[in-house]
Amino acid sequence: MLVVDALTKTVPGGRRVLDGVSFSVGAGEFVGILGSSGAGKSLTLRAISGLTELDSGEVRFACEDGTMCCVTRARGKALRAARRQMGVIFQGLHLVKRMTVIENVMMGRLGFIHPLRSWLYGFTDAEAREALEALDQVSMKPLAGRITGSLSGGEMQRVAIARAIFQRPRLYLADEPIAALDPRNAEAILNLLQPLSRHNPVVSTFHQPELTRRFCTRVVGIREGRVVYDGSPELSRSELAGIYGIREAQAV
Amino acid sequence: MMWPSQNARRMWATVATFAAFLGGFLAYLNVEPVAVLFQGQHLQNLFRDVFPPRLAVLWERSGLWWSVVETLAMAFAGTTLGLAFALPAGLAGAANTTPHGGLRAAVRFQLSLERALSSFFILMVLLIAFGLGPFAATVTLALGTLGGFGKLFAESLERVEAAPAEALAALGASRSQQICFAVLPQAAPALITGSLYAFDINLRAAIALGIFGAGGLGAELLLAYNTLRYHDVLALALVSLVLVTAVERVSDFLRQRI
Amino acid sequence: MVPYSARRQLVRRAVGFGLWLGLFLAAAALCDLSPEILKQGLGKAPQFAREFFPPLWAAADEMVEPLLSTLALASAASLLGMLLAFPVGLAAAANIVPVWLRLPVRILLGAERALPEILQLLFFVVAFGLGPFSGMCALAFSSIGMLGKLVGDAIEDADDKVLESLKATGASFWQVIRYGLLPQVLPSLAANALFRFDVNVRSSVVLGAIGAGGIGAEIARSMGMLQYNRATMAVLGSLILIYAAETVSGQLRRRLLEDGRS
Ligand SMILES: Nc1ncnc2c1ncn2[C@@H]1O[C@H](COP(=O)(O)OP(=O)(O)OP(=O)(O)O)[C@@H](O)[C@H]1O
Ligand SMILES: [Mg+2]
Repeated sequence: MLVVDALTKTVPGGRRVLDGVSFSVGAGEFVGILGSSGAGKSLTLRAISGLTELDSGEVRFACEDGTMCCVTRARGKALRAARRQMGVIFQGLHLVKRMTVIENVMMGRLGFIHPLRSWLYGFTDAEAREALEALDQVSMKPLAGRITGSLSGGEMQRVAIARAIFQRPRLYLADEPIAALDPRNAEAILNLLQPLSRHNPVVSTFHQPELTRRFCTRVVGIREGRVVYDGSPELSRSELAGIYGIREAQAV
Repeated sequence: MMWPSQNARRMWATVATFAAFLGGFLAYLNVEPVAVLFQGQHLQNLFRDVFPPRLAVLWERSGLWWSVVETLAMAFAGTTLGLAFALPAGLAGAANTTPHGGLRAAVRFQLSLERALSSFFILMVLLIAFGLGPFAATVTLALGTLGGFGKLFAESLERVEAAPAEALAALGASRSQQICFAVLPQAAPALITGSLYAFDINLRAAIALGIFGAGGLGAELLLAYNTLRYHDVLALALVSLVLVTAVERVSDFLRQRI
Repeated sequence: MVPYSARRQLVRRAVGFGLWLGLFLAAAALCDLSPEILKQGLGKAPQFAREFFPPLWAAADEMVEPLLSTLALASAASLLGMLLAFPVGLAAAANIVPVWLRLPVRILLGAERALPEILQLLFFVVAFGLGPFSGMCALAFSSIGMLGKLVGDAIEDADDKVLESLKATGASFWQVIRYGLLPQVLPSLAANALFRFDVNVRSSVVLGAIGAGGIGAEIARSMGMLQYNRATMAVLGSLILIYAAETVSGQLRRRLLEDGRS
């Protein structure tokens, strides 16, 4: 489904922020990426959707026609064709605050829409009805007409997920989807993501090992740009300590 | 605060430098403000010749209201024509929307040139090319609008949050779709405010260009002035004042609405 | 209900565009904005290029004196405007003067900003005749119109606590203004005056053409005598002056703002 192969990246100043990151994702998986702040989790996700220039390494992705296409080397149309198969769930600030909730959701399918049509009138009524269903799945239907900027952080997070659902991608990428949410909302979001992953795999970064243990099927641990753990979400204390670079006694 | 004497000395030194510079400039220009102001009875003459305004001119001159309409039309056409070019120029000149870095530099240079060229010189050239009348003034206003607001638009576009556009890129939206759905909606208030402001400025400029020979209210002013009807000039100046203030109020109101 | 309708989107965009187009066409008709005139004018372009270019380099040294005079005019007007803006701003601040003084001052400042400088110049010419003094008055007054308002606003927004505590120490009215208000207002006044200098240099070129002398008069005279390549030379001079003024004023303003922050 998705193969991440030996990604390396050096930033100006000479520091290696990605140092041979490799893992792969198959059907039905919910992969949680763990790692301390600055380990390179977000950068890995950005590399998967082709938003970051890499020094070397490849991201391969099973495209619509079944062939594996290389996201890293794709440009223009080919890159967009790969991207529209990946639903990205970033934090709320990635929504357009001045537009309505339902419009933000419908933007999920921009990759499939002819540019000329998007300049003329945007989306169709059929798409609007479908977007409303996606919002219903995240229990945001009553707020569909609101201006997005007036929502709370948790509500925006749901809108971002509804956008990804509406996009109907073959893979979901989420960067800290539950950051800045209270425990109840965080669980609610995870309860949304988990069933999605049964049909199309989810790759998501987290800061909560206890939650990846409960919801994920697999954990990838990244430390200083390197994959230091790849396996079951039932991490031992020493494995956890290895990911976060702390002594065993301090690991929860 | 700790060394009040030193502070005070610095202040007086600054004031003295200012005064010296001012005196130097005035001497260079060969003007003696005190002498001019109080010896020549100029101010008395001014008051005698200009006051009171002869408001009768407002209904006596039949073409006057037509000239007001013409000035408004010049300002509006100049603004819309200029903005119609300023928006693409802004899109090409903003780092986050430009199709190419080289184009961005070229557009920015072009815009700065338009800003530096004095509008009255442009008007003079255009008056020779297109003949007397509002056409030349409209094009002059459009060029000025393009130079000033193309740059302003580019800056407003660059100030927009980058994250929403990047999120759209990540789900496969094209460059133009990112601009249409993420950049422009965020920049819209700034662009609309700028456009209203452009009309305010161009109305003033349309009156001024009229005095240079472009028709409209400015031409009425110049005619009254050249025929030494100074009381009429003051009345017409009051008309300009009311017109400019009214338009400013309307655009303030519209700005508040968005 | 679905809070979105494709038709409404389409109609909204179409109505907005149609309205704009209609108004533009109406205004264009009033301004004789016709393609024929455009074509006729553009037809003259090659002839223009020949008459305006190359600039008459031989006249370069004749431009120095008018350029300096324009620069002196703009500088004097900016300095005068800045010096007078503070007292005028005091008279426009609600927390310093009573309403019966503030209101007329504010109205005058507003009128000052609303009227084009050229129009103001006409009145000064009636009083003082043609020449740089009238030009300087026009520019100085419109500088006061802008700077005085900004100073007035700044004083109204100034920190009242500083003033209160100064008053409590028994400082006189003028001491409160000198030690309480001036330091708060001066940095922004200086920055705005520098901006105004930039504007004044541009305007002084234009006013010169009407009778304030300097490089503007040089351009107007050359055009009037059909010496178009000489006019180009003068315009080139004014471009350099405007560009230099913009750069210097921008640099100084940046340094001023950085000083204020550190
Ligand atoms: N464009 C860039 N230029 C320079 N350094 C960068 C750039 N992008 C990322 N980095 C660096 O790369 C490292 C990894 O960043 P990344 O955002 O992936 O961290 P993260 O694991 O997501 O951390 P967090 O948990 O805090 O989100 C950081 O040290 C960051 O400073
Ligand atoms: Mg991160």
